[in-house]
Amino acid sequence: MKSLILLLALVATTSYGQDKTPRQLARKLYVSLTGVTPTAAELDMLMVKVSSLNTQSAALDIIDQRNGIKNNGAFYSVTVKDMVTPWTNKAKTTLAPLNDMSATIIGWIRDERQFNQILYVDSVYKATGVTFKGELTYLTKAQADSNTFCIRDLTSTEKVNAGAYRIVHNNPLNPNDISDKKCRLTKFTKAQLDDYFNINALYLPALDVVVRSNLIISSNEHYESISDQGLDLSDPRVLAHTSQEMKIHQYPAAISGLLSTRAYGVAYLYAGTNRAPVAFAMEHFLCRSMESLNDTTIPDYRNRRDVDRSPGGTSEIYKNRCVGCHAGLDALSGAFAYYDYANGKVIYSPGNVSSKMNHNVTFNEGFVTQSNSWINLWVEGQNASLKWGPVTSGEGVKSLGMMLSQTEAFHSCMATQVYEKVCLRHAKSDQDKFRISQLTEAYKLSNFNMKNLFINAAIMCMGD
Amino acid sequence: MKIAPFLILLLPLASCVSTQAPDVNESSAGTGQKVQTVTVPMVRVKNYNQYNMTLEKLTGLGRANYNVLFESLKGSLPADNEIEGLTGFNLIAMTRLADAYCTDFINREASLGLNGDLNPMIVADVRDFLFSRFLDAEPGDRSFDSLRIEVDNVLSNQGGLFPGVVPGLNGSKTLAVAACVTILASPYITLLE
Repeated sequence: MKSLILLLALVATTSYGQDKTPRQLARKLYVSLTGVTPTAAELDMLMVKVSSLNTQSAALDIIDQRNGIKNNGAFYSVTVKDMVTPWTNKAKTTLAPLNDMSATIIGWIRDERQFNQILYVDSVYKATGVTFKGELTYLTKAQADSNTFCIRDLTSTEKVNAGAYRIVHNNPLNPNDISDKKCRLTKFTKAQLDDYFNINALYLPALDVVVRSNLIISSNEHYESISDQGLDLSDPRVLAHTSQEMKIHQYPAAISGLLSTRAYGVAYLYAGTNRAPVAFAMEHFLCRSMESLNDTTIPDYRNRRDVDRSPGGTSEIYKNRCVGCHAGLDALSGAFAYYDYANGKVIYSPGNVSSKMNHNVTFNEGFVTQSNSWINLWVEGQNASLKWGPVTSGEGVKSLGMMLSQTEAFHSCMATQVYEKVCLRHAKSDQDKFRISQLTEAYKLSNFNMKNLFINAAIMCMGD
Repeated sequence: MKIAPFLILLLPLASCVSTQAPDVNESSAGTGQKVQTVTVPMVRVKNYNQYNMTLEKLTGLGRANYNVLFESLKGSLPADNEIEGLTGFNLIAMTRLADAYCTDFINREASLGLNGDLNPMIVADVRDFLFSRFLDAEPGDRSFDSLRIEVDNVLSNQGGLFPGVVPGLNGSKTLAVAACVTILASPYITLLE
């Protein structure tokens, strides 16, 4: 019943643009979701669905390239990537390359995973394939011809393509059975294959594509190689879900969804005092800047020693300004006490508080971080309006991520950002705010399905 | 290819997109004076990523082939969708990127059936081919009339934008590339609509 009421409300706030033709509506839907121009043939197909009010299906066709739609995964490579890339760097620029954090968000949206778990579940998306050393060999045609299993797996077209190299590899679906081999004709030359062997690159058999690095722990080359080759991010062979364990982190306790990705570390754990990962989480996941969270009524017993209590020789500034952010922020940032970023890697040292948490002593009686405990002091005061979840304290980043995910502001923040991205405007008017509240409710009812959220927002603005 | 002629062509094309008259509401706001609230029509420009993907999609040429140029132009292409921030440098960068795609596109399409090396070239054939590939132009659709005139002028080298090029005798591919750029760098493609 609740769903029905919400659906009716969504329909009521949807602008079907009665002054627009079905073709114009289909075009708007396409451009909103992908940012690219549709072809006339695509519009012919979409128009039929839009005319019959089957818009949801038309939107899915656009996003997942069904029924003759071809855009090389523009929804993921353009719209989603542009929206989330600023979350992954301090400069908040969209110009940064694809990385493990943005790739993971894209994968979660594509696979319709429950998005309110993305800040704490063990997950990272990367390409899967076979590596050149140990899992793959390459042969000339003559060598391959004497190899029965190799010939069996080649298509007739491939067999007549004399002179090309064959790649023999473990079956990615059955990697531990060395008797289960597959064979693939490759477009690469001997010199290229030798080069890939030397750097132990990753081969994607189904696409005959090489990603130059399989390692994601200390470099972003894996993702940049995917991006440079213009690979379709909607293809599950290009981005697949896997665990962060051993790929980014040695300890399971270090893993906490997006908050423990390498990109998050590069952006927010490098140098500093480990306050940045919390401050930017507030900004990107709850849509609250530190200025807007500033509340000088919060007790400051967790304020660290590096916060000057009398800047410029007077305590007025501290009491009227500094404390407003630090009281809440310092109490939460303890969650990252065991993290650091060095030599291209996110470092997690269980039980060892990073030295940067306690250096720069300007006020000796300030709080000394001795563990990774955190407490949310913003549940009281003006910031109670964020409607925090039931958890208000904990240890480590995973519980912090869980707390953020259970906050009402997290859901409305996602709806706001999606609405602004798809509807191409800043949400300022009362109508925008009303629509976002409707989208938020629908998003929650859809089990936090971000793909649905994008579709609902695009349909809502289709007739604007 | 020199891009200066295209930029000259682009200027009149700014008027190609039908402009919507602003909605003006009047109210007295309780002061006795008339207050106008103007709803500005929503026009957005494609950002660097959207534009590059659009060129890839419309030409069918993999964007990976243009990585070096794209990376060098990235900082000059529009960073976001705000039309207010659009500068001449953005337009130049967009035109340069379109030129790279168009050069390969015309070379490929010419060999596929656009009359070999395009000598002699039939202006209407090339124009219709480009329109059908890049624009949602139905027969009888008059909304592209001004662009059609511009493209025809380019294809027939009106005004001698390309000195020494005589359509039908030499340089027809050059003109076809220029016509392709004229369309792909026009507001019909560069704007989000």
